[in-house]
Amino acid sequence: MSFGSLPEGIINRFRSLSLERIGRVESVWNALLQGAEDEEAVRAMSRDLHTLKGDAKVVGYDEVHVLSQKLEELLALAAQLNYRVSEDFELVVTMATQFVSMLLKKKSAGTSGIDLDGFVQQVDDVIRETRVLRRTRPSNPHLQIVAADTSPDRLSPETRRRLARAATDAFLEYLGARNSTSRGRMRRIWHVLSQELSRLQAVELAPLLERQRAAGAVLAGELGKQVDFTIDAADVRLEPRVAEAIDMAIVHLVRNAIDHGIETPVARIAAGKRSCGRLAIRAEEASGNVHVTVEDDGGGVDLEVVRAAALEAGLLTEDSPAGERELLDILFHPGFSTRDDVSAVSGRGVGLDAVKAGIVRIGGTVRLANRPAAGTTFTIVVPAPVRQLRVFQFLAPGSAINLAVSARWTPTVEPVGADAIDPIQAMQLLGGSRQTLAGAPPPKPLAVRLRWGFLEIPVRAATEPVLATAERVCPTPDDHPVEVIEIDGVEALLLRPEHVADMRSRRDNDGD
Amino acid sequence: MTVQLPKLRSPVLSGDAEIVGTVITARFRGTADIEAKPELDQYVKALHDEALRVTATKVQIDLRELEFMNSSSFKVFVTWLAQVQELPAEQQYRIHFLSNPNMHWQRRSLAALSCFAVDLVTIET
Repeated sequence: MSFGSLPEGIINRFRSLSLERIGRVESVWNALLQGAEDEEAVRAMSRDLHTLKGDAKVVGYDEVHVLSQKLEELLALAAQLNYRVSEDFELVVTMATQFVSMLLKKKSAGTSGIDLDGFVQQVDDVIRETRVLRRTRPSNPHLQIVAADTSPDRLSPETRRRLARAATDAFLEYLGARNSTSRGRMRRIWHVLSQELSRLQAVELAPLLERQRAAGAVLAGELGKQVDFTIDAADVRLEPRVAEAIDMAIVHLVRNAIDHGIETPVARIAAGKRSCGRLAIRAEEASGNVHVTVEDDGGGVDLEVVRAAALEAGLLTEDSPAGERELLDILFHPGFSTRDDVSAVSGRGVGLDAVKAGIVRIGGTVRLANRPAAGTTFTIVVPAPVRQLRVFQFLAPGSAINLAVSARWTPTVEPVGADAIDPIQAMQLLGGSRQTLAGAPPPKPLAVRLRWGFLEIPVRAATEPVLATAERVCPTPDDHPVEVIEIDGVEALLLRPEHVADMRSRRDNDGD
Repeated sequence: MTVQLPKLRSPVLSGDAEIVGTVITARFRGTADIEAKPELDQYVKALHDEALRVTATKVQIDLRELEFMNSSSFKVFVTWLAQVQELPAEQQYRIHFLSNPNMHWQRRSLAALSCFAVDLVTIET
């Protein structure tokens, strides 16, 4: 588990609330196995589990998040079978709830002695076997629970980097292959790996947000409210971890908006509004960031209520000159609440403090704008995936390979000296790449001296460097000598000259 | 040293235990279904207390003659394992299951159980 820098109060509150939630889930599950048919209990169980999963993600209890997701899958499948499940199925559900409880009870971080992957494998086996053996019988639609989420593919950054290295190696092999069969094979491998990487590096936000529409509609119905839900997130893509953080934050904000913000139809008409409330989620990319807004036309925040609660909580004193901004910021303070009662829907969640913590954790910000009696707008700003890069582009010596270096380097063209690195030789691309220019007149050799800080590296080239904008299609770590990029749709090799020089040194030493 | 643990006797499940050195071995026979759960629960709690009393280093659970255990009864073992995990390191003892590979329920349940505490639980087939 990684708790980051979250305040201990948030963690403790999460653990306490989550233990209550998993206890209720277990209780409802046992009742369902005994044949109980309680639609409201099933919905409450689904909400409890979904909230637990979301909260776990927000506070960094990744193992609890994973197990909650597996429980959601199990319970969704059990609902399809009207809760007539095998002993194995019962067993893994029981054990999963116990596992979650154990993890929540652990006071210290870490999962020493626990084989989470092994247990998840057991769960997956049971799910697979159950699906295979599933009997075709009609299910009770009233007892259905929301199917498990399709979360963005999770691959650790290190795994993605390894995949990127493998893809880059395949591309280099393709460039260096001596015959067309090998070249074709390596080209295909490169293509598959790079496509997969591209899919993993940035996920679409819209499908994740769409799930909130369905959940919001169910919640509004339960609360007797009418909500016109709109979502506009066309073409916005985010890194998977950022998308997950946004998803979890939106879960809380949507529940808050429907539970606390948007009024009942009667109250809205009395306030001179349409009976149907409005809840809009928009996402757009601008200036290297993605802005996500959650806007409702409910009652807004009563600042005087916030002030009174803050005074009572000791967050303000009578003579504090707190203005609107300060009062709205207090809503994100750990443990702060303006409610005396407890809402079954969102009033017992980890709250805006944890929403903010989850967003800050991934380098984002969250801000609240208030329109008294007219609604609120939460604006989350998170970094957009970095895909473009300014580069100096030039042709490799004696080949048709496009090379480039980051534009942070300052290039100076000069006659070729003995110290100039031949990048093609350094990368050992002496096969097909040289042959691509067979028969063509050799271009006039030149060197490009690259300077960045105290580094100064001369590199052989066939053409003078030209400034261009590249797309990062297969990002490799900064310590990797090369990366495949695209300039105007054509593949090129981005060199990291300081590491290409290392490659040559290693090769020279190997030769000694 | 002798083990001070009453025998488990229910209409469908029986259990007894012995101690050799610092190792307690408890054998179960029959079927551990929902009806046997209260007795099983009581027995495993007593087994845990006895292991602490005699400062056992290992408790062996012999399931080779246990025909079936339902998930509710199996939860008794999960709870017990959680209790052992929460003990200070010097009081923890290892738990070793003797299983019958021909019984499907044992394969899955014990494999899953061992995931809870890979450093405390071992399974022998």
